[in-house]
Amino acid sequence: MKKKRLLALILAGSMLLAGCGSGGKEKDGKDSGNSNSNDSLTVVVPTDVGKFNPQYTMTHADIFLGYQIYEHLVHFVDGEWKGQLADSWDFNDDKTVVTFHLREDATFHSGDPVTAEDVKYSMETNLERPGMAASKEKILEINAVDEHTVEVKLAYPRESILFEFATPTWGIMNKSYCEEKGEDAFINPDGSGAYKLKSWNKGSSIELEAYEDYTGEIGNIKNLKFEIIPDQSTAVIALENGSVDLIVNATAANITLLQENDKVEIKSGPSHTASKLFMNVRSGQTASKELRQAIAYAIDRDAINTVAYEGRGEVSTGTFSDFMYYSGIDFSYEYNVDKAKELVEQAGLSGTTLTIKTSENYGSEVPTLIQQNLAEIGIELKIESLEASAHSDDYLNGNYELWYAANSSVLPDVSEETYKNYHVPENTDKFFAPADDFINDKLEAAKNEPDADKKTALYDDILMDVKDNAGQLDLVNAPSNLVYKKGLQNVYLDPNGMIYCYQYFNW
Amino acid sequence: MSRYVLKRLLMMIPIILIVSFIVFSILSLTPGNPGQIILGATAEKEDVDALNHELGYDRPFLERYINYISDALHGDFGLSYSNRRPVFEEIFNAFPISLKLSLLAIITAVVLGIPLGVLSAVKQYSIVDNICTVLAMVFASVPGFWLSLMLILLFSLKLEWLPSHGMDTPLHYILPVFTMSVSSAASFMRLTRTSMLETIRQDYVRTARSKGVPEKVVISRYALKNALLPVITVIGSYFGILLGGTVLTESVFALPGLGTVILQAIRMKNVPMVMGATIFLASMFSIIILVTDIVCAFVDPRVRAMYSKK
Repeated sequence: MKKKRLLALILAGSMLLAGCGSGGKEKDGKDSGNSNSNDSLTVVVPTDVGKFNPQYTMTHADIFLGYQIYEHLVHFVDGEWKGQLADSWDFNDDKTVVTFHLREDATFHSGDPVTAEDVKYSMETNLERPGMAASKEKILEINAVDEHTVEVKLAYPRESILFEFATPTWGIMNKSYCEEKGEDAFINPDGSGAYKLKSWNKGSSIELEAYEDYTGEIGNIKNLKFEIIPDQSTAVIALENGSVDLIVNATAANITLLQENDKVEIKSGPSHTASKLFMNVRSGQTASKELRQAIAYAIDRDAINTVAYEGRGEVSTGTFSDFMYYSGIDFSYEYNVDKAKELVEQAGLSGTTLTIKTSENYGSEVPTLIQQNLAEIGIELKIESLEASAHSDDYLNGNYELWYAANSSVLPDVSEETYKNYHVPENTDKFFAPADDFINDKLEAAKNEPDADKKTALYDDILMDVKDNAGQLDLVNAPSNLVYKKGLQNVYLDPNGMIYCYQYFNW
Repeated sequence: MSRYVLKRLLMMIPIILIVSFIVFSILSLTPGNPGQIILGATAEKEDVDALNHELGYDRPFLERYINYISDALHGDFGLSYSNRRPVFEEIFNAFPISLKLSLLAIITAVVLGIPLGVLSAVKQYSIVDNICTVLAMVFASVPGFWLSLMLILLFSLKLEWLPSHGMDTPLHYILPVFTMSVSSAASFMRLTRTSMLETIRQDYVRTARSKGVPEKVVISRYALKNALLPVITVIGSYFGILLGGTVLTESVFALPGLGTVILQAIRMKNVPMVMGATIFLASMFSIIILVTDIVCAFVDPRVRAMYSKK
């Protein structure tokens, strides 16, 4: 009798524990993420949101959520500009002042109207954050001209500033609400976006619902749920069994697996993330330009695309084909083993041993392929895989011969990316860049050129110098993709893999 | 006994201090810094330095440690670098999930492991014993993440009986709890079997049998009580380990437990978060071991007598 009672107690306790729910949030009784009704969309995110602050984008989830709850002035969707909070915008003749005309009927979720003061406040607080030094240099002044007009004065001609305002941290916040609530304003956010926060089941899911007074463009998705699934294999199974609708950037292996499934669709294309090889031009054996160029000729980037990206990437031309101020010139090195051998001989470094540093984040697949390529020209390459922060430290301090990483170009603009990559600030060094006295002057001249054609030509010249220097080689532009349940319409692919406004999607 | 408990509770203070110092040192001595990790591998040095300054990471090691401990003694464990919220807010969000899973897993492991261990010992070398032994070895050696994925593929995708992720209903708990409990159940089974085999060969058990005490009573009252002592100690340790989080299981089943929180914090070099979670777990582990010792004392009068003398 006693035993039975004990067993009953254990079972009851177990059921009670399991039934206690998760985090005390109210649920509507649906299975996790089940969103088969045609006004709901469930999107997988790998991590939870830190807080709903558009300026604090630590994870992809922060970015994904920021774009639904907050509005940006403009958006770049499917290669075209869309006004979001701004109805229209115009530049002055020399492209140093841009004026935004706001949607007059736009309101925050609390009902407060969105004003030019809110835009000014959001932009100014964003510029004060660490990591915004480069943006701060470009923007001289932000003025609220009237209740619905904002004027931004720039330090130099810069039409591509619009790209910057479309990036995650430039979401527009409610000034009075933020000042009144402090940090709590980002736990219960008050944006003006198409969706407002319904519930946050910490670590598990975030539910949004359409903002009933939203006056911008919105499709038929009224309920938007973000399901937090860290392991992508689990996310793929959830998509297959129908409990989620969309995965952003599935791995190559999962794409191959899902291609067989006729219930899902895959949209893929090249991203703005490239795998890159950096070589130290200041010290060590890679200080020899002939050796660096030999390495550049020896790398078979087609093979890297085939093996590491299953052929879904795009062999890089040294920049991205859809970037502003890109002339179409190929700045990359052809695959030419004979030329590479010749250059190694010239450098007198045949049979030498080099080390490439990679990290757990980037893996050793691409470095292994480079190792095989260099073996063909008589160079032994050792691969050193480091912990992520040690890897970054070595990059900053120039403690490398060859350094491998994949990184994203956030602004689709040759001028921005070239300046950011190769401009050498005072008292610091970029160990892969051409010498500062040589490159900085050219970069400054190109930056200040207002005419687009002349600007493009100046950047062509700089990128030719960069090619000749062979300190940084862009290898393959990685693929970007969305995998989703069949029936979802108006799906666009963001090359950065994160700027999605689900208000434009439809069932 | 109460003096002993008090003594053990006081001993937790130096233990936690030592643990905190070791973890703080490791975090400080390993290369890299939070500013670099937050801003990305190729961020500008001045941006990285500015962020590290804002986070207070640019001060000397000892100064940071002393400040941390002094704030912690006043109940301030700092703000998480990732969202600038108090670290214990994050820990208390994740801990109930880990606690719930660990309790369910340990209960399942005990319910499965101990009876099977007893059965195996009582029926030594029988077919039941052989099957249990083989199963225990298989489950003890199967990697948790592989088992999780196989279970999801079978029960969620093929049969569609159980959900693959999340934690909304009791059904959501079945697969992760089973995954977390099988290897512990296998260990408990093996340990119970070994311990029982030793005990049932003792003279007092033989005497009980020769006096005609029924076999069921001999096993349950005479042998099992003594055989369980080492098992109870191990259950305590396993429970502590499970509480610390089984990162892979949490990750596969999308469960936001403490393991996931700590792993993400370590990856981001989120010092206040790692420190807060470590101090919390060290305290919990010490308490669990203390409770285990107290339970042992209640089960075994010899142990109780030992504490009383002190």
